[in-house]
Amino acid sequence: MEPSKFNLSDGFKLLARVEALRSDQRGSLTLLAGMMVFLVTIFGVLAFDTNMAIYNRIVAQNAVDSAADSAALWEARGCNMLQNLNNLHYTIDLGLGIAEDAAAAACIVSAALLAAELVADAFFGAGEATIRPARMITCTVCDTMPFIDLAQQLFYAMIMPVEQAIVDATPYIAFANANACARGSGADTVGDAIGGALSTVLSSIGVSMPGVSGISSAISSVLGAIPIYAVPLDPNDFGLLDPEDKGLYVKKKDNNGWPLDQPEWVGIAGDVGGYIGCEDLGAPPPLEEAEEDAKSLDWDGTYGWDDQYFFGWPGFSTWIAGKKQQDELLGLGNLVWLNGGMKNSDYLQNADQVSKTMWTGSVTGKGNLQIPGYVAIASSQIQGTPVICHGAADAKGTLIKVYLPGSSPTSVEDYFIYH
Amino acid sequence: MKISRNPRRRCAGQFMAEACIGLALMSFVWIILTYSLFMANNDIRTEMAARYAAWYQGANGNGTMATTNQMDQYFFYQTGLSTVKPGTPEQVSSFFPPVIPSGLTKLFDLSDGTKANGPFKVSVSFGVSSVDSSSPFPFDLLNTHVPFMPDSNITNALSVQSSCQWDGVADTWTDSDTVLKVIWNMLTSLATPTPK
Repeated sequence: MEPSKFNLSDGFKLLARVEALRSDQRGSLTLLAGMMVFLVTIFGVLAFDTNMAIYNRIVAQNAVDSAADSAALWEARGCNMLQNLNNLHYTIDLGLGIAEDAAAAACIVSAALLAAELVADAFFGAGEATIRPARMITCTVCDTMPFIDLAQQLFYAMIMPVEQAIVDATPYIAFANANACARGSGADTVGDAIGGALSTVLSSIGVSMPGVSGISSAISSVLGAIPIYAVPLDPNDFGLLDPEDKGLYVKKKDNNGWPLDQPEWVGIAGDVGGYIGCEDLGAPPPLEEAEEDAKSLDWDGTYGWDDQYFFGWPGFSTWIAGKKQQDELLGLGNLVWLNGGMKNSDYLQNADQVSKTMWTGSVTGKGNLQIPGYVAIASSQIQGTPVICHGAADAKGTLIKVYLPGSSPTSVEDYFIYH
Repeated sequence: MKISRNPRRRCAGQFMAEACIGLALMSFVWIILTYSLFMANNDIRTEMAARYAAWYQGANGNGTMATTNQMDQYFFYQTGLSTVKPGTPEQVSSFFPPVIPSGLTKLFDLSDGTKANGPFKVSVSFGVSSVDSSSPFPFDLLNTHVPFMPDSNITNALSVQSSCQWDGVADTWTDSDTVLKVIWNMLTSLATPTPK
């Protein structure tokens, strides 16, 4: 057996060198400085991430505020267009109502003039010379009665589809322009912003939909493919999905009162007067002939009208828009050891062992440490005079305190969701 | 000549040398981080300022833009470093074609043709475009010339910028002339064929 080369002298030398190394402080300041630089860098990166999170939260809030304000603006524009058209409708009804009443009165006066003319002829023999010229004038006015009614009928048939189109299209135009504002203000698509946290977001705003959590990622991927950047929390209430029932919450309504409702008896009375007072005149033509001409231009043959007008007022709407989750700066969030490893089954297995082995898997992986996504909420409504038959077109949009929709809307002072 | 190793080497100057290196490194990192966080903080301020500027243009009724004086007064600690510029707003027709038939997208870009109609997109920036001797603190730090090193001018970290879009909320189409003009514009735009 070969003897060991180690002897006691070598052992003392080794101990002496170890002791010298232990007591040597050279280089310790460099080590300390390096550690400090590392720590400062880590804290700096965390500060950056916090800045980015705050920035994203502000972008999300600005985007949803812009979207909600834009939606209210376009609803207000729709209401003002309707109010202006209602006012035009009312003014036309008023003008034509006065004209038809005057024409009917002229017809009745014509009958009275005919009687006076007959009396004058009988007693003085001067009826035709003195009264007939006046009767010819009143009969000329009387002949306009069916054409006035025709004009009102044609105007009504033209203006109502225009107003109905505005009622139906306004929620969609408002929705599209709200999305343009949200996109222009930096929002991500709603699908991206909500991501897999749909059930979390819904439960945060008090909406309970069982089973959503299981399919939320599928819903998100579908939504992410559609360029929608802001949505109303209650699309049906906003008039998007059920325009027949809701629309702009401005509806056609029957009305009472002149000139919205021109009574038929005025025309009938004028008709009787005209038939009596103007029948014998060749020029102007008899009222019956004028009525036939009006019918050839699509007059329905009945005097008077009972117009519907658009009345109503949109309610509030609450919108959401957001920013999606982001990897934090430098990708440090991908490091497994920064992500609360005890939640990981591999770590739990190691923790149960007496002899812990060093982590041998990949040190990177999709971790939990990310800049959070934000979903911001804003509510808006329009202010001013409701749409009525004749009134001020002074609607304007405004942002209001957040109201969560429902049968009894609840308000919250400050609201945002992060995930 | 025999070079003998001194078993008890002297430490004199070692501490000083390490301090020079370590403190310089820490100071450098500290300055870089402070500058970066200064710019990140102002980035947040530009986002708030952009919202105000876009809203201001939409809400004042005649399409007038906010001024840099307003930005400096309301949002930034330093004056003379902000700019306000108009941007190209997102229009419905520019991003909705997948959902809406192209012929109908014009219907969604209704306008009364006035300057106040909107939407407005405004960009607000903070910083300088280039560094020179007149640049204010902390941008003047980038003028520092380290011997034997190139100029430390970081051209892509001199300014931060944010933008926001707001609709013309003051232009609510209240008068009948505007309503007729909008309807006329809509009919003529729908009648005009879309260029292929």
